[in-house]
Amino acid sequence: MIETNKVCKSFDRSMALNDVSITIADNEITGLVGTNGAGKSTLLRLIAGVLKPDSGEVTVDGEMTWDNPRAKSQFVFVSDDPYFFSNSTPHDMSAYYRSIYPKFDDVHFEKLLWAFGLNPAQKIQTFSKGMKKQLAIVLAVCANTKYVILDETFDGLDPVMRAAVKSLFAEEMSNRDFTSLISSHSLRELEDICDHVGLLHKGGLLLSESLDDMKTGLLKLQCVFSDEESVKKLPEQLKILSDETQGRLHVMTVKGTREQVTEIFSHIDTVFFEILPLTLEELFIAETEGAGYDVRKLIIQ
Amino acid sequence: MMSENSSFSNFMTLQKNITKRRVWLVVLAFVTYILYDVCVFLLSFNQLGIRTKLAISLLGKNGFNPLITAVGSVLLAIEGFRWLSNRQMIDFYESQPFSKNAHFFGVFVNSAVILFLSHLAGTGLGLISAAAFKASSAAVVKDAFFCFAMDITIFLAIFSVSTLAVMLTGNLTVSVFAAIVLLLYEPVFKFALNTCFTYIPAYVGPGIPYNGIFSPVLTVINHTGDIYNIICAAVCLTLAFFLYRIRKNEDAGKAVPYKTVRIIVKIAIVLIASMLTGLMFISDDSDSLRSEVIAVIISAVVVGAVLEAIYNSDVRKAFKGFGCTVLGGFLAIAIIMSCRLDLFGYSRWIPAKEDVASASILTTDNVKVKLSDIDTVNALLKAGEENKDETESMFELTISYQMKNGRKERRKVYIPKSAKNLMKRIVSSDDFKKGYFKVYNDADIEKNLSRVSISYRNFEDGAKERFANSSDIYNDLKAAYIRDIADYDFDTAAYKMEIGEISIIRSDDSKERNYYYVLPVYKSFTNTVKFLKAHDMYVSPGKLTDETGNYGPFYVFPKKISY
Repeated sequence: MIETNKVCKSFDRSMALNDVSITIADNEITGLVGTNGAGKSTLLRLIAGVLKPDSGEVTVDGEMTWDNPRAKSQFVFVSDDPYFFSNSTPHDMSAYYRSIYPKFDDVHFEKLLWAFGLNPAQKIQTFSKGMKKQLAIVLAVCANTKYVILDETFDGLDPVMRAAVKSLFAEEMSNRDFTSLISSHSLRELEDICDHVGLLHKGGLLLSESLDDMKTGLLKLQCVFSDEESVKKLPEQLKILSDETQGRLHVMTVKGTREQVTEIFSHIDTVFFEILPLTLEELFIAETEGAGYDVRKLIIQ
Repeated sequence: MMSENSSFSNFMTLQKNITKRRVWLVVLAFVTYILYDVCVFLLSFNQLGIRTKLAISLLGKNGFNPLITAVGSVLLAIEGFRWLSNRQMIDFYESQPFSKNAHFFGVFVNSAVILFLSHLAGTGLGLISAAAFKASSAAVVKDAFFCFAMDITIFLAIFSVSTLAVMLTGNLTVSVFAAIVLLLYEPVFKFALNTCFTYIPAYVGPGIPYNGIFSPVLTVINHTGDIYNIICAAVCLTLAFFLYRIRKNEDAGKAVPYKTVRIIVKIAIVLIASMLTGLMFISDDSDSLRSEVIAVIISAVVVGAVLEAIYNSDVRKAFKGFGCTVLGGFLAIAIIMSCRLDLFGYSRWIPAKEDVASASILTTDNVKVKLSDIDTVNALLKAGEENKDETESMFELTISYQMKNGRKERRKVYIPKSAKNLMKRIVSSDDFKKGYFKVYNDADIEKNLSRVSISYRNFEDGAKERFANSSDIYNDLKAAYIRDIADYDFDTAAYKMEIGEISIIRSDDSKERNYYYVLPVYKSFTNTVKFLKAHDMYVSPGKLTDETGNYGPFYVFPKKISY
């Protein structure tokens, strides 16, 4: 388990992270979203032991990561702009990774290179930006560490490759202990891969929740009231997070279980009432608008 | 996992990986040493008879191995730690399962091994080549390995200083610049100071010695200070390690991450650059003062702006931190002007008589004459220091004092015509004559070196020589010469040309040891001339000119002195 406890980090005079506590559970894929400058990379670099927190603790399986080889041997960190030796090929890099991570899986590496269409003997400097990211992901996965930390690695990948990486992660999770922490500035990049999502904004963690929990407590519904006065009759126990109207049609996001909401609306005079599935984006909008943030401006592009 | 392996195994893995990423440096080191030690030796090897000397000079301390080592050490340090200046590489290396200490000492050990092995290969193959061509000897082997050992200390010192430069900076280009500054600041600053000192009117060198205190480059040039190199390495490496430990990885890419260092470096660079620029415009002419000051100000502003632009990676911030620029420029002006205008009174100094143990003057012909009349010497120094009229000057004189507190003080002054009486008093004194003329000081020499050869020559027609096996003839000459010196005065010493000179060569029976000195002969030295004629040694004086003849110890310039 990766944990940060009240972590603060500032650069010069600006606070990059302020009192951030987050837990990355084992065998889950956690997405970390936020705008540019929200502190995603800083948090990931702190977790990877690249940066030292000003205060607070960052641990991997209970061990501090800063200057701790034992903790660092548990993960591979792929930065937003991955580094490769000059003039090296994927084979050269795999040899290097093999020397550092003894469980590096050569067979898997060759297989994945082929699957991703990467030439093992080609100079990496001739690769496109997307190909370099793919190679970095493949190297990280084949290192066979428990954790893989990816900083904006999905950003810039084309949809086909993104799907391929997602299926690769799913396969890893089914085959072994595999936990991944992925950051992105776009919620849509992480929508169908994450089990857990954290939202960072201006150095603070706005929320960190399991997607299942989020979906359980929130409902999207659309309805047409017999008359607009009926809206006022909605009981106070129905917590409406948003209410958009198009003519007489109301599209609402409300807190509560399906049963609770259906029960409430059974006493209201409606012409039309329907409960709809929520997208990740809508879940975020609902969760953060309550806290006074317009999440569309923060993470949805 | 890595953590389950032993520390040694981890360290070896790190060594392997560091070596892999700097293979080009390994190749360069081996090729350079081998090319120099073997190929240059073989290419130079075409002169029979000096084979051993050639081998010693190429493989020993006077060869280029120290220079190769110095340059190699800078490259190894900067390349070894360059990942600290690059965010991509910081993310890559610092997230890997190695401790920070392992990274630091890994680079150090790797660099030392590369240099050690490549130098050893070059030296070894050089010695084998020398042996193959029968140019080897115990002296060659001894010199080659002495040089090898010395080069290891040079590596330690220069690598440590360069590492310190990298730790003080956060950008590769600035690191290179910082290494150059740290290595060369001391010699360049000493050069600038020594040049400034020459503009103090009464200043006599040799100035600040160029022996390294902070810069190992000076010990490389001087072939000295192996212990100094090791101390320098220990201090700089410790400091570099401390900075490495406190250095923040987020500072990668910043030119100079530490604010204090930025301030000190800016003041130091502005100071030296301004001083050097000011010195380009300096002259003895008081009219040049304005141009010197303007040059210093312009240089300070430009250099300060360039540094600030580098610090901030932004030209628009070039005039930030102007206080440091002002301070650096002010210090440069203060140093130059304090020398130029002698603000500390160096050229107005006259010692108290009771503080002086002894005084001496250095004649124009470089004879140091000790004088006991301190009052007259002080009066002469005062006259010289107060002399500002170049048309009134007679000659330059260096006056030295041995102070009772052990210090030595020297002043170089131009003696004015108004001090002629002081000079007359000095030249006519027994102190001067006994100090200047060697005939008074040859008793010990005479005792140890019994054979005497006497010859006389004028300055036009060549010499006639006569040798004597006994000292009788010399004693006659000495007696005649001392009678003539009794009338020797300042007018003779300053204005008369010698008509010839007697050379005395003393030696022992084996002729392995000898002692040589010259006695000037003037027209007024009638007793000496009589002696020479009596022994058929006299040659009539030729037509004396400035080109052919000799002037005495206080030659008065025929032309005016230019300051």
